[in-house]
Amino acid sequence: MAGMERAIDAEHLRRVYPKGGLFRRRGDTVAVDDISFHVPRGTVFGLLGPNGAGKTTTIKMLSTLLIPTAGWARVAGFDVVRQDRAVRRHLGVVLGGDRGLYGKLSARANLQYFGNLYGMTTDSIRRRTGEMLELVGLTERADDRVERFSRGMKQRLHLTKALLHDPPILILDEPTIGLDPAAAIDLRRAIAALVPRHSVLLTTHDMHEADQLCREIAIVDRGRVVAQGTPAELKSRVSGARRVVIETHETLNGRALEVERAIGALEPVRSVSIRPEDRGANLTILCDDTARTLDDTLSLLRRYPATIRTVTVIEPTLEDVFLSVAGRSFE
Amino acid sequence: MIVTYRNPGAGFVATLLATSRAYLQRSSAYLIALIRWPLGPLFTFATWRVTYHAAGNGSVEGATVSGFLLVGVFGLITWTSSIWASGYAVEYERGEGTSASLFLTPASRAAVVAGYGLGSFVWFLPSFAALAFLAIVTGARFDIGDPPAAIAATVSLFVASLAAGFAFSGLFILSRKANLIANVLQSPAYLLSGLLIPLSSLPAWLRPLSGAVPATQAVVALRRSVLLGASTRSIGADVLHSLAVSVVWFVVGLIGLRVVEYVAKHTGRLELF
Repeated sequence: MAGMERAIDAEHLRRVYPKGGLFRRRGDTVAVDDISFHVPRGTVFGLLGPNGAGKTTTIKMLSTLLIPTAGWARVAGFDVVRQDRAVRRHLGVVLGGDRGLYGKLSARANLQYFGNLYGMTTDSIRRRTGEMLELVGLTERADDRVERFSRGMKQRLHLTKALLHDPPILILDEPTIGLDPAAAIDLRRAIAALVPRHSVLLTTHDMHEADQLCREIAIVDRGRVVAQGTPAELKSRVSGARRVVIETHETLNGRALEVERAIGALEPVRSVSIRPEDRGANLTILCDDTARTLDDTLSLLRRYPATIRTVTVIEPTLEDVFLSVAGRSFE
Repeated sequence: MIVTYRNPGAGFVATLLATSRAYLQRSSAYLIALIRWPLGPLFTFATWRVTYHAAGNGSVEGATVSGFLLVGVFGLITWTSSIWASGYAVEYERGEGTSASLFLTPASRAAVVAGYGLGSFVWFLPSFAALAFLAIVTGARFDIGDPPAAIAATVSLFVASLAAGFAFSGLFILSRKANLIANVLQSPAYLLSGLLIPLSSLPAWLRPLSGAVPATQAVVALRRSVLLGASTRSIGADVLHSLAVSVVWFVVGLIGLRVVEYVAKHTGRLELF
């Protein structure tokens, strides 16, 4: 791991499942068609895509639970097929969903057991268990059975389990799925704090989460990477999604066309429409630069009898990015 | 803080012991398991004791019926608990929803399977005491001339049971219905190993098959050492026979575990919940 620039390399990963029963095969299901990406060290990298896009299958291949049908991948410099044991030593994984912990054991007993499975010494297990439980705020519940924990507490314990052996790389599969908003915010904060000590591969279908946490994102759809880059880069590729919406108290009767032309002549503006409303007018401006457009438009409107009621700036979202690259909405 | 790791050998032992401890903690969390645990062996013993009595047998192969059955039921429990616990290890994990978590660790699968077997053996130990009490009350007579012989025979019985568990454990990685095969094989295994019937009553053509079951000679050695006062030297051949067969079953099981894990990962059937 030392000196490596990339925590994870995946090249042309493909995973096909045979369809059909024991005696009759009915073709193949392609779960992952062709996925390549590289996770830089010390960053959070996101695999973003709708359900069934191939994210979980990809991380199963990276975490040695599945053998790729084609392509290759390295985690911490180790090949996921030929050096699977070394990969598992350098990797902590939080799988999606509620399972993966022993409900009849306490949080502490779960961590102690997994510490042994990772080959840690008794002293390391004891100290690390205490530290990790403290970190995620579960010290007071450490000796309670996990079956009595809330979903959020279980998810925090999952993260603790993945971090127990201090792996340089973490894979988090939909870690906030099913959590209430407050618990999700807490967990996102904990994930953000993992870098740069750890490198994180995060799969999610929550675009806000990806936008908030990831330095770089690969958008996956139907088993392929359809776009990749930083959130800002991805959004910059979407044309026409930046909008400034201004509502005025006045209807601009008689001068609407003049205002429309004047705003339309501003440099970053692509198009403008003015719509009369019950209590004034609504100006919707499509543009390339919302800050400049807003600044210039407000200056311009001072020349007219128009007092501003509300101003809304709409930046493109990753949803818009997905729509533009996949040709359909996220759901 | 810096995390320190054990060497592979110590890691294997730690995984085995931690798994058996976790198995005991999880088992003791169920009230029904606590109730069932002493009763099962007692009912089995009582059923067979009554059967022998009804058949008019007062002794079997030179030992009292109760003594013969005590060793047999001890063997039966060791055999079934180890097979079911170790053979079922993957299925238990699947039922808990932890199979993926387990396979994500670098731990030796063999250590985990053996840990299940050891945990189950320890779990049943107190019920052996209850069983021994019942056997003595109903007329069991012991003659332990050489305690190391009894210990060697007991160890070989446990090893034999664990070996059989290993041989079955791989099946459960590939299929959740592997218990159907295990169920079918259970009755002939009891018959062939002479746990509850004298081996001399088996037809001659079945004897070679009987020798291929790892527990058979271990049970013979245990009976001779605790009921007939046999020495270590005199049961040596039986113990060695049992251990040799056990090694074969272990090797088959270990290879099977590796092969089926690879196949399961290849076909995507590793962690079906």
